[in-house]
Amino acid sequence: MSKSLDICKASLVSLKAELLRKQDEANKAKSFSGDTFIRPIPGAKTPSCLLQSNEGVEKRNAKDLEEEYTPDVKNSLKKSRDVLTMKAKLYDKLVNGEMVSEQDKTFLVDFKQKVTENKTTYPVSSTKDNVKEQEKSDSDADLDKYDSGADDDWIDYTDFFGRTRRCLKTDLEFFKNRDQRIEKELEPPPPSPDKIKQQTPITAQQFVKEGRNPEEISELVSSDMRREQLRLKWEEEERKLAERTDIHYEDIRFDEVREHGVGYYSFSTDEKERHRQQAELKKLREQTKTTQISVQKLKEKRAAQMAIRLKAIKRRKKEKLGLPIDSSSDEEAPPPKAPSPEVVEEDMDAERAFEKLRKAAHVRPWDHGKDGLQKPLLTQEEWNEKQRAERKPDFAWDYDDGMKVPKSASFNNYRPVDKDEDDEDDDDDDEDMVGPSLDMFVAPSNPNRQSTITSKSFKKFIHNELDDEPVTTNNKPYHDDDSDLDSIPLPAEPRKGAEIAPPPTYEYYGPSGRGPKAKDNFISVNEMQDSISKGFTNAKSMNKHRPVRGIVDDDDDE
Amino acid sequence: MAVRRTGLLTEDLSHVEFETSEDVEVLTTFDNMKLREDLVRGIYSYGFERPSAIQQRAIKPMIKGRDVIAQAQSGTGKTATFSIAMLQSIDSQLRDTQVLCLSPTRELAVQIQKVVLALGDYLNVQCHACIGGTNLGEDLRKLDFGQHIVSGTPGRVFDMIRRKALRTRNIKTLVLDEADEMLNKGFKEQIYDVYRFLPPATQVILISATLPHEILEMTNKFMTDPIRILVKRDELTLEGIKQFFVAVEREEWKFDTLCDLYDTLTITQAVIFCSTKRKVDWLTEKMRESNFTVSSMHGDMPQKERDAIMKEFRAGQTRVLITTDIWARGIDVQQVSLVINYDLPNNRELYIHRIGRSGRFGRKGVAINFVKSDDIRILRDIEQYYSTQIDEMPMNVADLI
Repeated sequence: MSKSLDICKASLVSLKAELLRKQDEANKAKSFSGDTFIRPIPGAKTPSCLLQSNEGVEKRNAKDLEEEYTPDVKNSLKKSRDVLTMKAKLYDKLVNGEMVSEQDKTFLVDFKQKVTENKTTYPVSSTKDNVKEQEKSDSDADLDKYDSGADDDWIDYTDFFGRTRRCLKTDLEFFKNRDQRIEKELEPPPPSPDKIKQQTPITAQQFVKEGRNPEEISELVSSDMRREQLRLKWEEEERKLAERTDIHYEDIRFDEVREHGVGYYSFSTDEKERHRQQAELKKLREQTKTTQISVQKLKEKRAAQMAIRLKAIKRRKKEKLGLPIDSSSDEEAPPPKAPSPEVVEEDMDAERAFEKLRKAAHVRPWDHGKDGLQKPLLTQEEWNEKQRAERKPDFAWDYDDGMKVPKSASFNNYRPVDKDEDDEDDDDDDEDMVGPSLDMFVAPSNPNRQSTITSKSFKKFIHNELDDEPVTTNNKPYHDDDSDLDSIPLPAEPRKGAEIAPPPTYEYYGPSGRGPKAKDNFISVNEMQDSISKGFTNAKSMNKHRPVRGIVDDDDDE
Repeated sequence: MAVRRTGLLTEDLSHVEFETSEDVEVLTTFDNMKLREDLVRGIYSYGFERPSAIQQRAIKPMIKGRDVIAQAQSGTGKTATFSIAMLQSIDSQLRDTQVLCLSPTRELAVQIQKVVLALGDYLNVQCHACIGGTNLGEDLRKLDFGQHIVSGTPGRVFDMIRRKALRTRNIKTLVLDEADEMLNKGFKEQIYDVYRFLPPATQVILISATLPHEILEMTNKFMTDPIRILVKRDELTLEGIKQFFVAVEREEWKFDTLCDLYDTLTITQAVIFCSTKRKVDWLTEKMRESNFTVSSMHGDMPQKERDAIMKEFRAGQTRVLITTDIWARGIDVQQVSLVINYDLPNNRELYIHRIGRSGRFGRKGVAINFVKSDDIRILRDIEQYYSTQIDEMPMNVADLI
């Protein structure tokens, strides 16, 4: 609607003028050369002489139409007709006793009997030659094959090759004789009786091998036989498949009845042929694409030219009218390009990678213990266990010894230091001292009793070690000297090196563990240290190393 | 540690209601899915024009690599769903197993191979059916050639893995078709055995028309935050499949009823379900005695025979198949439009699967249940459970096929 508003009256007028001019021209042309434009006048009839055709043509034509111009019907009709003729031939042969062998149990009818019956009851009437003989008298056959038209002189007939022909009635006899002659020439000589037995199975096999028209054969045999044949065929196909490296859909269809899409292309089962077909298809596709593109380009070009022309016209008109030329409105931004498929692909790749990471972050119960599990997937306890398992026994704690050491005294001595904390917290403190891994990485809710038990025994040992520290301060300097070698100043530290691999950093794990409790722990540690440092002034130089352990950091936190 | 893990697992899920995930995208055409050109060609030529509901939803997350639990009505293209996704994410240059698909029956595994090859016809993808009852040497050889996708039954697949014929190193995806059956008691251990050989965090896809709660509960053992696409049970029966029952007073009358229905059976193709293998044999014998042409199939037959019967039925050479629940799940023969439950199935899930043999991909279907008077209660229970309708069989049942 809005577009129609854009058209100015001037252009409409010019259009009208142009139209009139063209009409005028056309009229002139018509009047000058009337015969160049032959137009069929609707409703007018062609002269009757043209309409008149030979009698019987219509009938024949109808027959042709029936046979040829209804392809889907035609196929099935033809097929059934062929099958019927085959059947008839076979029946004739059987009745003649040509194909019947002793052992043959395929047929339910006893044709041997029938042959004799035929010979006795009715005079021989079923051989081909006899049928031919009869044609003259037998009206059925005559009607079928020699369709006499209404016209007295001309007659339609079907010759030996199945062609519908037309001849003068008088000539019919001649043609018939010719047909019979041809038929006799083409027909194989009737097999001699002793040959029959060998020949019948062979012909049957030939049918199967040719497989040109499987329906034809299958109609002739019982359904059991047919199935047996199919099974053999499928087995053969499977045997072939077993040797091949590449298998495709077509190879394993096994005559399945299935509706496919319109674009379904039944590729060859032969690998080379299949490749050729696919290459051919690809070529066709590319051709289509290039043509599409060229057509598109042409269209665009035309559109562009049109746009330029329109623009020029507009400008001219504006100039004529003396209006200012505004170029801005004419220029249009090029249409935004669709995102390229590559970008999309990358997008999908990224999503897949993300998915992988996400999956790696979570361990499924069924995945536990698999080789490919990534390192970070180990939980802290698992890491501890692993390291402990790997540790040389020389450097390991003898947990049993630790247990045996009289802990009662040590505990009692130790307790006063952590005045208000209960036993559990004591343990925690010690864990902190010994190695942060034991305490800080274990989630507070962790119900893992086993590892706590080991750590407890471990802790108790340490209690023992620390035993004298707070009370008898004499040991301390000695300790610190030792620790100086490792540059680890904490009282229990010397053993830590051998005990557990140091985790990355305190800062990293510290806050993630449990905030308040950790703080508490550190206070107690600090208190302890304070008491130590106060007691031994000669260890001051060593105390300066302490910040390295991160204790100072924790102090900062407070 | 063990304690802790089980502690996590015993998290009680029995009261959790599983629902379709919220962030499921719906792509209404195959072109929107940004699939490989050659794959789209295969899809269209196989006969799919528009993706079904499940295909619209599940293909994308599967391609992304998410774990997916997908449920959809029978015959709505579930097999094609994961086949398409798998074909999209396969590296065809790498001739090693990248997807492993397990199914409960050999016939189904073979069918999946067929679908994969059909959809991947233009991709030249190799898919092998690794099933029991076949020649081991041939299996070994085929796997040695290198197969992109292996579709098989758990027993033989596990055997191949143990023999190192089936290399699991490059497997990216495990598909459990008919997942509820695969995770049932009979199969679960076998699945676990196979799973243990797969790389950790392998993408897992579960597919079935029925996914009972207890199956959904256990998925967290081998899946990571799966996308769930589920169907409520009152939407599980298809409109296109009309369900009827015939009440018989005595068991013997079922046979007479079946004989009366024979002409209806042969209109297209029909499947008759019996409860046991022996009954299948008995019924087949009896039908043949009465000069009815029928074929039969059950698990006690040699694989070669089973295979031949399947091929004949697929080729339309036989029209009536008497069988057990071996045929209940997944088997897709387009022409089947009638299912007869000579005996009612043992559970509700199987009912859905059995009647789903007809009415494939939007076609019409009819299911007829033979019920003795004490069976009718079971049928009413099924009817209620799925909020569906099972009427008495009308006279003109043939018109519905």
